[in-house]
Amino acid sequence: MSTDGLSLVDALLRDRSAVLDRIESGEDLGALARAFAVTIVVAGGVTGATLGFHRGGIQIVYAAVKLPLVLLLTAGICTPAFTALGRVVEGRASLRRDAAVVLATLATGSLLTAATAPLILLAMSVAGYHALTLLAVACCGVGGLAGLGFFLRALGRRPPSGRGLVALTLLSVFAVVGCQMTWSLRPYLVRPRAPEVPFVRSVDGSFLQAVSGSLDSARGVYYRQAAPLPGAGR
Amino acid sequence: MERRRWAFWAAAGPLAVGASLGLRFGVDSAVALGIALPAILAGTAALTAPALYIGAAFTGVAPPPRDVLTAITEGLADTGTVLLGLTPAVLLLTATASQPGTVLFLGYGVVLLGVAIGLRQLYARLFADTPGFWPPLLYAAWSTVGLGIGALLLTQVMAARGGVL
Repeated sequence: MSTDGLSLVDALLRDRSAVLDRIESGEDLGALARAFAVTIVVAGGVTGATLGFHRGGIQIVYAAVKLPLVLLLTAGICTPAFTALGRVVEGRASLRRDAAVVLATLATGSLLTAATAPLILLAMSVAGYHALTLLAVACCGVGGLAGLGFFLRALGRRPPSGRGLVALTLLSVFAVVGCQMTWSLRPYLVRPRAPEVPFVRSVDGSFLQAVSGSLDSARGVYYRQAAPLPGAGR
Repeated sequence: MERRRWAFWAAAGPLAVGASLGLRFGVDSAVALGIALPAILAGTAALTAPALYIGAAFTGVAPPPRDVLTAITEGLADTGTVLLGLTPAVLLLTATASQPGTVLFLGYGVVLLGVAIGLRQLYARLFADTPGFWPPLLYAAWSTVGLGIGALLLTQVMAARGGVL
């Protein structure tokens, strides 16, 4: 299997077993990890830019930078947990192989999410902000499921003893870290009436509160009189 | 040499997680919790290990004392390794969570997860090949008491910090 970008993307979509074989062989893992990272940057950047297109201007660049950053930072934070669990529960530990599996998982997820970009673009012309937020979450969910499938397949090749424990623990860590990282680097879409477009917002609330708020807002339930108008903050 | 390696892992993980959690409340709290967490885990293990051995020996399922001691040391090292692996996630959550209560909740959760995995590994080392109902019964009771003592000590350390944590 070649490590050039396009053939790797093809293998991630078409022949994931070959990708896992390559990772397990441990051959040229550095080049493989770099190729996965580039895939994440490009595919995540496409999805981010699509989301940023809702507001336009500098937000297209901001979101295109932030979404790959979310994925790569999540990989960096979750990989040590993966290796630690492997060392304790399975008696094997390879930070480089685990990093390659995590990056391949996120690359698969980001490719599938990028594939939903046309749907998001279409929805921008027919749906409101809150419905679009929920659609973006659903599209990321599609990518997440694809990544989950790859990750479970990778775990399926490991020793059966303690595999369930490793899977359950890691998926919980991935979910918490991924959601928190995504939420910490928001906004991606930006409310139409937001006065300014910050690169990141200040720390407040949590990811789950934000999803619950969007569900309420999509149903027309608001908890404040009005959103601030552009220029009101200046 | 091997024992030194286990001691390193057993201390490094709780130290890193304790300091990361405490950092949310200031440097003093980071130092206090960074020291307290490894001490609590090691202290609880030292306090309760004889009871496990006595109970297991009385019911005829105990490995030799040296093996019990080795298994408990390895269990502590396992807990430390898992906690060390979770430290980057804890740092992210403590840095980005706005509510101190959320940080504490996550902190308890992470420590509990590390301890639970260490306990699971310890059971496998001590009783995996021992049939009968005594091993799981005895171990469940011992684990519950140990977890209770550990939680109590952790809560008292937090209270001693003036309720800041």
